[in-house]
Amino acid sequence: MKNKLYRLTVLGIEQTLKMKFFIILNILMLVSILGVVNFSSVKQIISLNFGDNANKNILKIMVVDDTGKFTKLIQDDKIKNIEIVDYSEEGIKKGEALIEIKNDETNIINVKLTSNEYVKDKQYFDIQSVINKIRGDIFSEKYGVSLSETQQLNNDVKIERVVLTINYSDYIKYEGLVTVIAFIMYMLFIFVAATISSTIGIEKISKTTEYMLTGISEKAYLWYNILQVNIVFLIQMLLSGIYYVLANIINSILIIKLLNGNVTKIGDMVSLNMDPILFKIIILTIIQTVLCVLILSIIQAIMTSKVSNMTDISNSSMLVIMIVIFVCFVCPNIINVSETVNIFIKIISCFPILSIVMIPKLILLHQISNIGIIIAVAANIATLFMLSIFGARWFKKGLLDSGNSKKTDKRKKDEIYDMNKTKFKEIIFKISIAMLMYIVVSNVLGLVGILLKDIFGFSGNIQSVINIIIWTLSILPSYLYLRPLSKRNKITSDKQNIRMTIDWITMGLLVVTGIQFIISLVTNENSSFDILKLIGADFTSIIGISLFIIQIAILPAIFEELLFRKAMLSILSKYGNLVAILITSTCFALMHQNLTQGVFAFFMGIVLGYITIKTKSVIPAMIIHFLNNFTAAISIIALQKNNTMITYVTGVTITAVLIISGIILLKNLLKNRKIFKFEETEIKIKNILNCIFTQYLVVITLILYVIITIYMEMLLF
Amino acid sequence: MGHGKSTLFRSILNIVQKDKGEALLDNNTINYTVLDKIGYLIEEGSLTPEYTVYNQFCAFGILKNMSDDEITESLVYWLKKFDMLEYLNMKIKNISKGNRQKLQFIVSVLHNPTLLILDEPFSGLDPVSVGELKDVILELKKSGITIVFSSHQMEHVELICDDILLINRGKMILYGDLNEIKNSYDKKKISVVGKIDIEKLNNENVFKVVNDKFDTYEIYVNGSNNVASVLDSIKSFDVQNINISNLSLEDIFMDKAGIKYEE
Repeated sequence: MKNKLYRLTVLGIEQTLKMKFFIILNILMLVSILGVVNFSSVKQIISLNFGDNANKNILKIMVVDDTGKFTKLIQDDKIKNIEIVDYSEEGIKKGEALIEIKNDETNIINVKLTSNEYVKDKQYFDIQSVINKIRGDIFSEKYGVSLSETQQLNNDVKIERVVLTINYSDYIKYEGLVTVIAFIMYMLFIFVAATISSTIGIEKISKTTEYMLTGISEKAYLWYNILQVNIVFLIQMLLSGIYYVLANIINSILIIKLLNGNVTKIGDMVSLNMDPILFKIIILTIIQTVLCVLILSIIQAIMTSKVSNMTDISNSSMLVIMIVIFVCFVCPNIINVSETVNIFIKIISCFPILSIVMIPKLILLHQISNIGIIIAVAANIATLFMLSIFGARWFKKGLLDSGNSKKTDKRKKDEIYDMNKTKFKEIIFKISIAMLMYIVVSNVLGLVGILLKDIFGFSGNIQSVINIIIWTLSILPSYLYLRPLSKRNKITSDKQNIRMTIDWITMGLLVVTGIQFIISLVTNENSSFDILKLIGADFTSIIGISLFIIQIAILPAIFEELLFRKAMLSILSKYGNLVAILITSTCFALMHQNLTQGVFAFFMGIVLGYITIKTKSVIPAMIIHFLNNFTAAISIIALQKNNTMITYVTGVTITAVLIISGIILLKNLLKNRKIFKFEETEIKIKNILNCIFTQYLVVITLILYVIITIYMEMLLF
Repeated sequence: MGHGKSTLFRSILNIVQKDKGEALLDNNTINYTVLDKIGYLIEEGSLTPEYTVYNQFCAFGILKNMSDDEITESLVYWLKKFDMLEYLNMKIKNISKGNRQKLQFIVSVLHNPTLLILDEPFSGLDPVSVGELKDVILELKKSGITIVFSSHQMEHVELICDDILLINRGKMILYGDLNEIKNSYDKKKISVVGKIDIEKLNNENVFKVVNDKFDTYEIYVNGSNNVASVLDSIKSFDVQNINISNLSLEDIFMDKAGIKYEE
C-alpha cells in the first residue's frame, strides 16, 4: 500500500510539473521577480548611460528672496537636481519653478512655490529642508540661540514605557509580523483549498475515484491527493525562493558595476544574528503551517467529496475559505495590547488552526509559556490524527454517494412533512400557549408573593413555604395543559440496562459541569446569587435548609423535567429528535427569564433532552438536574454560613465525579462509538422555522419573554 | 436504476461494506493483494478528462501494482488490438464516447486479471465496436479468465454467459446454468403471421398473447405438450407463417419479473 501511495504521489507531482501551465507560471514568476528586484539598478544604469535623460530630472528654479540665504544653501548642500536660474519676465516654462521667500512677523518667513508641473517629491523635500534651515538661521540670529538648541525643541520628548505585567518592547518591535504571517497564511490556505477541491472534484465527477478505491484504501487515496498538491506547492515555494536569491545576485552584480565595487557583500544581507524571539516565532510558524495546511486540506477534501456537479466544486471550498478568513483576519484582533489577556483568550489561542496566528501574538506579548505553545502544537497534531482516521471514512462516504439517493430520500421526507405540517403547526401553537401561561402565571404570582411579604411581613420558613407554593403553582398549569397531549404519543420505553443508564447519567453530569465551568469563565459571575436575593431563606435551622434544598434542587428537578423532557419532548419527538431537543431547550432557556441562566439552561436542555431520548426515560434527566442544582444549593449554603469545610467537600466531590465520569466517557467512547449515534430529523430546518415564525401567538410569546428577561436583568443591576 | 447491480459489484470489490456474507476469490477473502488480480469496468466511465491516455493508464497501472515497463507494454498491446495506438498521447476529453468505452475496457484488462467484472461494457458503442469487443471478451473467456458481466441486453448475455443471475429490485429472482434454465423452462413461444381472433384463441394453456405489430402475434404456451392443441385452434384462422421456439432469456426475465424492463 505504501509503495502504491509513494508511486502515485510521485507520478502526480511529475505530471503537474510537466504541465504547460506550471512552466509558463514559473517563467512569468522568474521574469517578474527579476524585474521587481533589479528595477532601480537597471533604471540607474540606463540614466547613467543616457545622460540627456538625466537632465530632464533637474528642476530649474527662479528665486525671489528677501533673506538672501536660499541660493547659498542650495549650493552648500550640493543638491544636484535643483538648478538656480535667473529670473526672467517670460513666466514659468516647462521644468521651471518660482520660489518667493518673504519675511513675516508671526511665522518668521512665508514661502510660495509656483511651478509649471507637479514638483517631484524628492525635490520638494530638498527645498523643504533648505527652507527649514533658513528659518532656523533667522530664528537663531534673532534670539541669539544656536541652531542645535532650536532643533532640540523640535524633537518629541521620548517617553520610555514600562508596564510591569506585560512586555511591550518586543510587541512594538515586531508589530507588523503577525499581520504578515496572517496574510501569507491566507494566500497559502486559499490556494491549497482551491487546488485540492479542483483535483478531487474532477476525479469524483468523472468517477475515477471509484476505480481508485479498488486499488488503494480510502485513507491512502486521501493522502495521495493531499500530498500531491502540497508537495507541488512546496516545490513552487522553493523555486520562488531560488528566483529571489538569483535576482539578488544579479542585482548585486549590477550595483558593483554601477558603483565600481563599493558595495556590501552578499553575505551581509542575510544576517545570522537573529533575535531569539523572532527565531522562535518563525520556527513555530513553520511547524504550525505544515500542520494547519494538512488539516485544512483534509477538511477541504471531505467537503469536495460530497460534490455531484461542476458548480458544486467551487462552492465546496466556501467552508474552508470562511474558516481561513475568520482565522486570519478576525482572530488576531481578539488579542489586544490595551486589554489584559485572560484565561479564556489563552484557551482559545490553543485551539487547533486558530493557534497559528494567535500564539505568535501572545509570544510577542510574553503572555504564553512554553507549555502553552506545546499544548497548541499538540492540539493541532491531535486534530490531524483524528481527522486522518475519521476523515477518511467521511471522505469515502462522500465519494461513493453520487447524489441520486439523497434526492429521493429528501422527497420522502418532504412528503412526511406535508402530512404532518398542520399537526406540527398546531402543536407549536399549543406549546406557545403553555409557555404564555407559565410567564403570565409566574409573574402574577411573583407580584402577589412580594405584596404578601410587604403586607404581612413574612420571613424565614413561612416565606420559603410560600415561595415553594408559588413556584409549583406557576409551573403546574402548563404541565397539566400539555400532559394529555403527550399521552397520545408516548416515548416507547424498552427495558434499559441499569449500568448503561448510570453511564449516561455520569456522562451527562460531566458535560453539564463542563458547560457551567465554561460559562462561568466567560461571564465571570455566579448566577446563583441572584436567586438568593429573591428567596430570603433562613439558613439557621435544619428545616430552613431543607426547605431551601426542596425549593432549589428537588422541585425544579421533578417539575421542570416533567414539563419539558416528558411532556414537551415526547410530543415533539414525533417530528424529529433534533428538532424536539432544540425546541424544548429553547423553551427551557426562556423559562428562566435570565440571560446567564438562560444560556446555561439552553445547553443543559440539549444534554438532558439527548439523554432522555437515548435512555427513553425521564428519570436520568431528573437525577442530573437534581445533582446539578443540589451542588449549587450546597455551595450557596456554605457561602452563607462561611463554612469552608462544606465548600471544600463539595469541591472534592465535584472533582471526583468529573474524574470518574471522564474515565467512563473515555471508555465508552473507545469501546463503541455507535451508542452516541442519533436518529435523524424528518423535517427541513427551513420549514420548521417557517412553521414557528408564521404564527402570531408564537412570536408574541417570544417577544414577551425577551422583554421580561431584559426587564429582569435591568432590575437586578 | 437502483436494482442493485453496481452495489453488488462494489461489495465484491470491498468498496462498500457488506451487511452480511463474504466474497471469496480462489478461497481468499478479498483484500488489496487479491484486488490486484481483479479487473473492473465501471458503468459510467472512470477516466479523468484532463489527463492524457498514457498518464491515466500509468496511474491505474500503479493502482494494480504493475511496474512502469509492464504498464507501457500492456497498454501498447491492447491499444494495437483495438487499433487505437494514435490515441496514446491524446487528452481523454478529446476522445469520442465509443472510443472512451474501449479505453475503459482496456483499464479493466490492463493487469491481466483472473477475475474480470464488466458493468455494462457495450453501452455507447456502435454495432461494429460491439462485435469487436464481443470477440475480445469471448477470446478472454477461452483463455480461462472468470468474467462477471452485467447487461440489460439479453442477447449479449445469451451469447457470452454460462451461468446467469437475474436481479430485480435488489432481489435475486433466478440463478443457474443458462442452458439448464432454458431447458427447464417448460414454456413455448409460437410466432404467427396472419389474422387471429384473440378472443377465440384463449384457452387455459395460453398464458399471454402479444400483438406488437399488425398481423404478427406471439403466443406463449404453458408446457410443450399443449403446443399441439393450441396449433389446432390456430388452424381455423387465416395464417401465413408459424414458428415454434423456446423462450428467449428476455422472455424468461419478463415472465419472472412480471414487468417490462424500462431502460
